[in-house]
Amino acid sequence: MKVVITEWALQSYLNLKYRNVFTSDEYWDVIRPDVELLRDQFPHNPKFKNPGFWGPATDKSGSAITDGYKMKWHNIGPGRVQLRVTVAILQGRAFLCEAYVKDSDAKDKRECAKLKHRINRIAMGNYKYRGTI
Amino acid sequence: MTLPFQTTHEQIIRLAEIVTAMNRASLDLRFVAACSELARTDQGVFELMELWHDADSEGDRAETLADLQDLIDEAADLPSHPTEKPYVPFNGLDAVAATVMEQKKRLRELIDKHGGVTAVARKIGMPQPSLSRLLNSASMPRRTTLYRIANGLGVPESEVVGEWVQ
Repeated sequence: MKVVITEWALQSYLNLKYRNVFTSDEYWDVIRPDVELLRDQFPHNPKFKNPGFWGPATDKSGSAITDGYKMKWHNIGPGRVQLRVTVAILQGRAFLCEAYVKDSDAKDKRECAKLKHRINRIAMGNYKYRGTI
Repeated sequence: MTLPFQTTHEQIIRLAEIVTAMNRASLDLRFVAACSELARTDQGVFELMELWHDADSEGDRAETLADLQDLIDEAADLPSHPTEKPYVPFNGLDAVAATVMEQKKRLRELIDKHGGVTAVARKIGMPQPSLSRLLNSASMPRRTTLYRIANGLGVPESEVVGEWVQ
């Protein structure tokens, strides 16, 4: 499956990298290989059965967002933060939507609301992207 | 094609209540109207507005306003079809971020000359947390946002638009 780097994803990576949320080593050794699993081994790799790594995104009422998912990393970077990437899977492709630090439930809910909005945009073709993986 | 996450009739009714609350909170009318317009069809935007309404803290409320403004600015510059922009390799992110932050430093100086973040945000009809986020984040600013700042301050485009913009 093709993995699309959306403009939203690039902008979020840019800010997180600048803030040293994760190191370059973590990117190459952990984050990038995990994202590449979407391209090469989704949904068969056992990691996609691990709710600590992968799961449906849920909205503020707790309902799963159709086509919306979260990839999760724990204790990442010097700050040992909870890093998340929202992912939309539709039209036979995986769209990386936004990386963020989950530092509160409120932040998580906002990101999931934005994911719904972005799934709308992707479905309508109203989006920019920065290449594919 | 209909939006996958279309605002329901019940949510549109609730929207009226939230818009009234935003108005009572003295948010800029242009901002409230733009939120309302987007939320009438887009459930994600509606849910952000609801999160603003139900937020437990001023910090969460401020972050939600900045998110909403971001979606409003994005809507002003939506491509009609998927548009590929140049790839930025991971190894290039640090250099891009450094340039963006240098560009934002100059923008902050300009804003300070015009009375500071709060005054300029009010002038251009943008929530103050949104302008603060724009200045502090290493993400590329949106061209539409920069135009709004240039128009509000009466300065030429060349004073606000740098090398890297969305």
